[in-house]
Amino acid sequence: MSSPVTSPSTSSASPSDSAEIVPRAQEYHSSEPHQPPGPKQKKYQTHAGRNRFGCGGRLVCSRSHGAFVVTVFLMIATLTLYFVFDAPFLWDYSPAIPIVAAVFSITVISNFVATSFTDPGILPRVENIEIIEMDRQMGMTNGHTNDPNVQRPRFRDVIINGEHVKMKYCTTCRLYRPPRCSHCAICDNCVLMFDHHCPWVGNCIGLRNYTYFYRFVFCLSILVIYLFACAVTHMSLLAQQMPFGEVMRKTPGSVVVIVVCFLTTWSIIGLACFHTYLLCADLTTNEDLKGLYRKKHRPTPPSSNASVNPGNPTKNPFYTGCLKSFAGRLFKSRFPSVLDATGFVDHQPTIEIRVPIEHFTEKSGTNGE
Amino acid sequence: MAQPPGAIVSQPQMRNGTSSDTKSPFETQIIILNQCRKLNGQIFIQRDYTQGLDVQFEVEYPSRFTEKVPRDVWENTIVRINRIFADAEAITPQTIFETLLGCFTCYASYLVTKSTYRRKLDELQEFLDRENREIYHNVGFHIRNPMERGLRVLEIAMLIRQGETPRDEVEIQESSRPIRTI
Repeated sequence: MSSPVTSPSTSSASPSDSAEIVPRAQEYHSSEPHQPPGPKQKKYQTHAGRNRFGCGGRLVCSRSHGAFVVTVFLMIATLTLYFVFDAPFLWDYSPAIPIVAAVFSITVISNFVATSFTDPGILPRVENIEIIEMDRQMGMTNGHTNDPNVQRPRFRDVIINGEHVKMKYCTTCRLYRPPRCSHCAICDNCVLMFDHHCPWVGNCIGLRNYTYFYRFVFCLSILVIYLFACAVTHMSLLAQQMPFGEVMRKTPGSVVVIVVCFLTTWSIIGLACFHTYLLCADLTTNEDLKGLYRKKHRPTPPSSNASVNPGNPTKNPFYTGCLKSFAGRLFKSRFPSVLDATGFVDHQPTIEIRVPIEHFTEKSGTNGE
Repeated sequence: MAQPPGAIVSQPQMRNGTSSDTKSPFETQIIILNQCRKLNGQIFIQRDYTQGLDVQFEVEYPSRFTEKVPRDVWENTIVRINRIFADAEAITPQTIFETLLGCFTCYASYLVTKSTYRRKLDELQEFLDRENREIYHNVGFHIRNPMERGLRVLEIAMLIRQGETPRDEVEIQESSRPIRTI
């Protein structure tokens, strides 16, 4: 029994999982038969994807963090320069100006932190025991010795609101990806409602942190415009009193703020508009880039049963109205983390059941025969 | 699969429930689920995506329940489970308030309060415990919390009871076929 249990895990363990930070690679193999001694492990310690965890699994982010550092640096630097050079000057005109900036900054930073460190909706990989049982139920028992990934059908068809949607089999996570779920190549995880992997926030954007991400981008676009306007106002007011060269020397910080804001504002405003559109159309970035529901990009409809269902096969099956989509993504109660990184690994789940005593003794009696 | 029946019977460990022994005519039996799963297999209830992505499970009657669990009992259970999830996913004034409060407190409120969804999951766990204790354990099933499977699938373990032999291979393959999603 134990040999077919362990064989699929060796075939599908990710090769690039060079366990440099957390010693988790070898734990993935020894998932089933023997209980490890020592203290109980938490689930994040055995997680197979390329993620980094903090605070005992409460914080989840990607392991690639180059652009993330740049974002943090830019944000902190710009805000510091603004509050050192511009804010004191503008405070004399009206204290409200720096206070509004501070409120927006705090909102942006909190949303940024929430986006970066929330589990985006990572689906945990499937245990071997479930794979084996699935295969058996699908009548593929004979192929126990073969590689199970070869024989499995690659797609499963589901009908959502009358549209055929394919659920693709993920060979890494060994599950049929739920609709709108996609595998992130950078984090090596299947992420529910995958939007995109954002290197700037250093995390995938998915079901659980999209709302933070949207608020972050939206507030950031306002903040950038606001800072830009403040810095320009500051410099032009000073320029009325003294020559421009002296203004430059007096507030070099404002110049930096203007340059940074001017350079970043276009992409941020573009991104905010794009995500507002996506919210209205109930699309994810992933779907939009692939052009899943657009006719012009896909002359043949994506559903296999197009002849059966000739109505509107390229329609977005999830779209139920602009307002509903907005509310559904932004105001739903927050989805629980199915990764459950803070939970303990339970190699041997046990349950306690209560059996009537008479019943039990009678049964054990028949047993002994 | 080729283990002698004697070995299987000895696997569920017995423990004399010290407290429950004196008060009620019940005994606590500890069952290691992995052994049940290896020998008996599990029933998987797949997600029902026909209405969209909200968490719902198929209400179809698993064929392995035949003669053990009445159809209406199962339907009652699965409809209740689905209703709990539908309530959890609904947009109510409470969830809107929760979100706004989170925004205004920089998500500090998220650290100290339970979300509606989390409360509903606790309710689900309570409900499953009760259903298992009152109905399903008596006939050798155990509905597991779908959170353990990432809400992809609802797993029902088939317990190894005293004096029961594990199912044989041929019977499973045909009987479990209708569980699949199309």
